[in-house]
Amino acid sequence: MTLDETTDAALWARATAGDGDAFTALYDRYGDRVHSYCFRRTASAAAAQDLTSAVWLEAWRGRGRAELHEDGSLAPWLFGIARNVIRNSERTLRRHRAALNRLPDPLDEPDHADLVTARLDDERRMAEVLAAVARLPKREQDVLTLVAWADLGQAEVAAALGISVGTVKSRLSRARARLRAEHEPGLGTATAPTTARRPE
Amino acid sequence: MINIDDVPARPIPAARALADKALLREMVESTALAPRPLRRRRPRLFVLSIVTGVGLTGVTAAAAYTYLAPRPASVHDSARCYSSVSTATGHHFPGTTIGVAHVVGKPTPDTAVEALQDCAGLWSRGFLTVKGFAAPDVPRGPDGLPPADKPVPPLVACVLRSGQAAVFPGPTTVCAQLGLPLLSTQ
Repeated sequence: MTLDETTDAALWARATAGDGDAFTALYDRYGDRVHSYCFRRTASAAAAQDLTSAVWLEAWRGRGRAELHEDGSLAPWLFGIARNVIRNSERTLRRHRAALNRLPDPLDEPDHADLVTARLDDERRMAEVLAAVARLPKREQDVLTLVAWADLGQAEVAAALGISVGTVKSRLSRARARLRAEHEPGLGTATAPTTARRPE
Repeated sequence: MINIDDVPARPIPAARALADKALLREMVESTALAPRPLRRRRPRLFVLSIVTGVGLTGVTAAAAYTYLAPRPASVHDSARCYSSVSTATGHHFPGTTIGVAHVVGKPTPDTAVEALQDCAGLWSRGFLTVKGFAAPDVPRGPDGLPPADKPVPPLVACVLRSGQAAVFPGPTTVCAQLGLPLLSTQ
C-alpha cells in the first residue's frame, strides 16, 4: 500500500507520531483543493499561497483537536481551519510569519506572459464573483463557498462549521436565492432552488 | 451574470508546494519531539517542602499520600510516551507526544485512557527505543506502519502535574520516584 492509498486516519496517526512523509501525503491529497478555496475566497493568487501554508501550519498546531468526518475524511476539519484562517488572516499570518518568511515569494513564478495573463484573468473573474458573495451575510457566505468552492457535501459543511445539516440546507437555499434575486431580479427569491454539488 | 459555480480553480504552484512540504516535514519531525507548552504549574511540592517541620511530619505524610494517590488525567486529547525515566516535562523530553483523531459521530477517544496501549504500540513498532523517539528506517507493512515485532519493556502510566498522562518504561514504583501519581483510568 502506498501513501496515496492510505486512509486519512492512518496518515494522521503517523503524522502525529512524527512521520513527516505522512503529513506531506495529506498535503498532496488536499493541498490543491485548499489552495483553490483560498484563492476563490480572496481573488488573490499571492494571498492564497500564504493562506494555504497557514492552513497546514494551523492544522499541525491544532493537531490535538483533529476530527475525522464519519466517512473517515479529514477534509471538513481542514476546511473548517481554512475558513478560520481566511476570516482571521491578519492574525494567523502574523503568528506564522517566521515560517512563511522561509517560503518562496508567492509571485516569484516563471515570468511567462501567458501564465501572468491567466492569473490576472482568474483574479479579475474571481473578484467579480466575490463582490456578489460579499453582500451575503457571513454565515451564508461560509456555507455557500464551502459547498461551491471547496467541493464539500452538505454533511461535510455541517461538520466543518459545527452546525446541523438542516441549517446548512437552509442557509444554502437563502444564499442562492439572494444571489439569484440580485442578478436575475425578475425571478424573485421564492423560486430559487437549493442545489448542492455533491449528493448526500 | 454571476455564476457562483463556475469559478477558476488554481492548483498550488509546484515550486511553492515543494517548499511548503519541506517546511511541514521539518516541522512535524521536530515538533513531535517538542510538544506544546505545558500549562503553568502550581508549586505544590515546593509549598509542601517549606512547611515540613518536626511537628508537621504526620500532616505532610498524609498530604503526600493524597497527592500521590492514583488519579485520572485531566488532559484527554494527548499523552506523553517517554523513552526513559526522566523528570523533563517541558518542550524537550526523551520521547514523544501522542494524540488521537476524533471521528465525528463516534465516541471521543480518551488518549489518556489509551496511553499505555498506544505507547506500547510505539515501542513494539520501533518508534520508541531506549535512545529516544525516531521513525524507524524499516520496510512498512500493508497498514503503512513498521511491523510490531520489537520487545516492549514494562510500562507504567503516571499523571504529570499538567494533568497529562505520561507513560514511562519501568516498574510501577517509577511514578513515586518522580513524585507523580499513578494514572487511574477508572
